[in-house]
Amino acid sequence: MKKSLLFSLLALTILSACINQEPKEINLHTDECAYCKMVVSDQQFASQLVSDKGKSYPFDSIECMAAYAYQSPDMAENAKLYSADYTQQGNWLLIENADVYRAESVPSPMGLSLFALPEQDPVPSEIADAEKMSWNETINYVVDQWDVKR
Amino acid sequence: MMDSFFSTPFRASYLKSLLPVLCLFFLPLMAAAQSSSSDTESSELSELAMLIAKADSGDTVFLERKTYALNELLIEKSVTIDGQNGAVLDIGSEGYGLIVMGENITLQNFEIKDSGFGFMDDYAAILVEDSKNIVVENLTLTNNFFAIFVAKSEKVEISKNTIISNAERQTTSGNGIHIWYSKDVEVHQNEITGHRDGIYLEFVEGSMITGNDVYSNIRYGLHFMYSDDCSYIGNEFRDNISGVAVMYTDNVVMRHNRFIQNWGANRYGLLLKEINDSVVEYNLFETNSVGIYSEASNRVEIQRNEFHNNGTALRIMANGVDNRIERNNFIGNVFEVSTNSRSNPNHYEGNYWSQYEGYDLDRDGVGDVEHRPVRLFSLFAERQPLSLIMLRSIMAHLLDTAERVFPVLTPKNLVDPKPAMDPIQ
Repeated sequence: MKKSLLFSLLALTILSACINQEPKEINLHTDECAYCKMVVSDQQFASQLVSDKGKSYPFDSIECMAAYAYQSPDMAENAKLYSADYTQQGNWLLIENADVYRAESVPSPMGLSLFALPEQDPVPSEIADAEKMSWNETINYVVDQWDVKR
Repeated sequence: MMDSFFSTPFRASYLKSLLPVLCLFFLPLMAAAQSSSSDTESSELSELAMLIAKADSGDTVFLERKTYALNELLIEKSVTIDGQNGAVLDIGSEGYGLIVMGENITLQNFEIKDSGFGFMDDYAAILVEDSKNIVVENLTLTNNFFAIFVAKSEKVEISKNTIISNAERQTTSGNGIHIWYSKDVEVHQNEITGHRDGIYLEFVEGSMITGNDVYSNIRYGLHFMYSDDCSYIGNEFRDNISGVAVMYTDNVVMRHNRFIQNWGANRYGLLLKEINDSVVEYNLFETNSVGIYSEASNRVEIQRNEFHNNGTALRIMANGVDNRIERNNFIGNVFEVSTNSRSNPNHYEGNYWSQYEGYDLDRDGVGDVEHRPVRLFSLFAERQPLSLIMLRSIMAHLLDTAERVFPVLTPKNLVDPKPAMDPIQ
């Protein structure tokens, strides 16, 4: 009895360990954006949503992730949302711990000029027109600009 | 040299508003770096700048058949620069090449090579910004990050250029011809290979793209977004990693183009996403994983095209309506049409389908029974890709035939009521 309990506990731990919501690696020029179907090829703007089952949905831009999150609220609720650090290659930022900005001078893949930096990090000096947005503001902005329907 | 430096934007493409402040701030630093690094080249650099400084507006500046050093040279005068098919401008892997900001400027018959590349800056061999009436022709652009970058300009003609990038720099490659926020741009008969997107347009209006040969680029052969009223005629897009993608645009004309050899997962000859009121006709789609993939596109006329030997000739999502698929030839494709719904909001008529098994008793060239181009097996293949092993089995064939007679799972009204008996000429 004890043995089987121990065994099932062990199995449970191993199984639950399988579900991790860490960001997955995105294959540039190969993976397709889950929202707009474009190939993801700008690491600077790449984003991903990792669902509560541990599946990663890649996006080519923050705006696509915002639109996707708006369209699938149930999934987004328990998911972890990540965006690439605009200034540092290969660094993933949890969206809660990131500052999202909009700056016309930044050419994001989908044209809404959104990028993310680690919380409290200064905006690079060559970007003059950066405007900070909360995640909810970001979603509203994208929904409004693209007329996203649920 | 200082003069050209003063007037050269630090990061010309986007930071205009900030420019004066920034330039002043960094000037001493940059000037110091510049003078220490390019002492050896400065005589020739100034030579090129001097040639242009000496010319009057309207003059033609002839370059000699030799190599000139080039670094962020600003051209504001209305001049023609002619390299007599022998001049080579070497950027030396740092920064931009020519920066064109003016009117009535022509660049012709020379080579520009080795621009800088960076993650934050879109360095280009030729940057055309806030300009009008610019001609770029007969140039060879080799191993540049971006080859030609056009921003906020009007009436730009880019023709007969050879644009080649080194395959070793795949991940850091920019676009061949990149056009942003511009109007009336013409791109004719260029050869583009090895770049990220061969031709890229964003927020461009009223452009004409003809006769270009775009192959083996690492992303899309042609890629445009939010670019209304543009025409693409007689181009060839071959063996680009992701084919061609056109998105969020109205009034597009695509005629006589060739979409060839785009094989692999997530690869399409032509990806139409939210394209409205457009025409796709007389094109050839050959050996692609998917010939045309259409999503949320409305009122697109897909007519008179040739679909040969594709995995799926036409994949059309049911979230777009009133598309007309007429008089196309579907020959030797594994799946002729696939979709994601049981309803069919589009119209199919008068196509030639090589998988058609009907007959024509009255010999009027039109099949007497309708054709259902969606195979049952395509649904299986979608859910379980490995089932493709069974594609040629008798069982699969049997199921397909049964489904054609009594459609249960495939869209009931997705039919061609008048299939042609012979290929349409």
